[in-house]
Amino acid sequence: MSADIFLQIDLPALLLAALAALACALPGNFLVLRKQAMMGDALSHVVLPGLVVAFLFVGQIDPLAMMLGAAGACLLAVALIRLFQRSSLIDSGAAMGIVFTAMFALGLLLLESRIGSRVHLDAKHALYGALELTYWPAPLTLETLPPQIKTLAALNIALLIMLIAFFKELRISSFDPEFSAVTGLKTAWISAGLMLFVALTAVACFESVGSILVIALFVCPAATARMLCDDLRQQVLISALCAVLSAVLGYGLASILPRLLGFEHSLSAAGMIALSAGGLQLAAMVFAPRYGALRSS
Amino acid sequence: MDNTSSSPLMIDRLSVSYPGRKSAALDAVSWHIKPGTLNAVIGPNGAGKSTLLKAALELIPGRSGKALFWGRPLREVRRKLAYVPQRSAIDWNFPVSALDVVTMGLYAGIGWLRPVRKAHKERALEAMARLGIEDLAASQIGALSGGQQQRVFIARALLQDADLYMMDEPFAGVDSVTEAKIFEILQALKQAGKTAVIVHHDLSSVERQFDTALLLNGRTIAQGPVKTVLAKDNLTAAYGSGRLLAL
Repeated sequence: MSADIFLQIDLPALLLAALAALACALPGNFLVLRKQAMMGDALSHVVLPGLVVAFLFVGQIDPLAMMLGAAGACLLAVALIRLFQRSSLIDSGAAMGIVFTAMFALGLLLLESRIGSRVHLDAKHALYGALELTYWPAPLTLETLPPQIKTLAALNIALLIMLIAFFKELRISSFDPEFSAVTGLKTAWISAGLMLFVALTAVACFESVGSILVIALFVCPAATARMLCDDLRQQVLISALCAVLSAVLGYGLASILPRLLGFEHSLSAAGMIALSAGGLQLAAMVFAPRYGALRSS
Repeated sequence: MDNTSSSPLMIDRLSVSYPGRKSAALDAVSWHIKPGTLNAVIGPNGAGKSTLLKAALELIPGRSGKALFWGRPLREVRRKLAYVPQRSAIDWNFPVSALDVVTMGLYAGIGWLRPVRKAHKERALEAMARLGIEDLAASQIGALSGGQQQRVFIARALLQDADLYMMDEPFAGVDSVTEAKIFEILQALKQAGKTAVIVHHDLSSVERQFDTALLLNGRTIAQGPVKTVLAKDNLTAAYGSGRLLAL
């Protein structure tokens, strides 16, 4: 019985959480290094109305429609930001703040008024995700594996390929954009490519883990890893480990531990994962050998 | 126009204006640089020295006028240029080692989808040895002193094996040993027929080390051989007299 619960409920949820964490942490390294960490936050908010409109059109959660809706929302956001910036009385940070929060609010309103709680796309899931609803029906084969897991696995493979193929270009354009531009590197394309993957990741993770966790996972594992090493390749590897550790730790603390202790209720898995990621960051800030608050020098 | 095609850098009425500001950051500056020379860009803070370099390298918007390299546009000659950005443009907390940074001088030649190999790193180490910093190869870039950091960036530029070197304040915040080392490198480049354009702030070394100078204060105050540019009238026009010198 207990083994069945683990295989059918905990294992797919753990897999989903770990894959989502990994997918956010990989591009998150470059967001943090480019001082664009808030872009992850912003994009994960801005896509919501696009997702809702796509859902209203198609009538079900269809990956392609969702991606198109998200892309449309991103384009609209960029256009609106440009419009605000042109007035020259509002600085670009404020313009972004206005557009992202307004679009997210619009998305929530649409969600509540047009969809309600008929399907599992509602405001609560938009914020916290639906890790707990993941279920791997018997027989436990690849066919019955929840589709979100397959989507996120594919996304991770794509992210890894991009990262390995363009590692050199990502490194130089993040570190010294002016030098890169003079050598003829198309830094704007690299930047746009990175943002595309951040948006894809935000959309793909959104459904399963929710926007709060997406924000935490874009930033925390990368920032934690930065405290622990001085090499970009090592940083990416350590951030991946931190991400998976946060997922396992968070899910364990939220769902498995309360059950083992005999409690009837579990905690929010997404919330505990974000908290774990923050906890690891805090630990690194205190104990990191070179950069921690307790360093020997 | 053989004259144009032999000139490593010819700037023609280059202007830069920022939106919302009335006066231009750079007002119709023209400059004609001869091959095999060391050229200094001097002038007070905010005179547009860095802006001139960046505008010529198409790094900033709001440009008008043109800059030609050997008579050709920038996109055709990128591989013959080496640019050393201002120290303040660099994120010193970035997780790269000194060796990683120097190796970046080879990235454009390595090309897309190809990794950095051992042979590339060995060449980078040779360039570092020329500047006496090969021992620092493994250090994170922010852990080095100002002078060492600047030597890393000069080593990266050397590795690019360029014909024209454009450096933005390479002497800012460096120790005297590093300063001597950089001048030694510049003179060696000149001997090899290379050209350099350097944004510089120390007027005392301009006369000893450079062939020509451009004195800026938004617009051209004076240009030509160093001696004539540094005439008292010109300096007063650029920096103001007496206490205004620092401005």
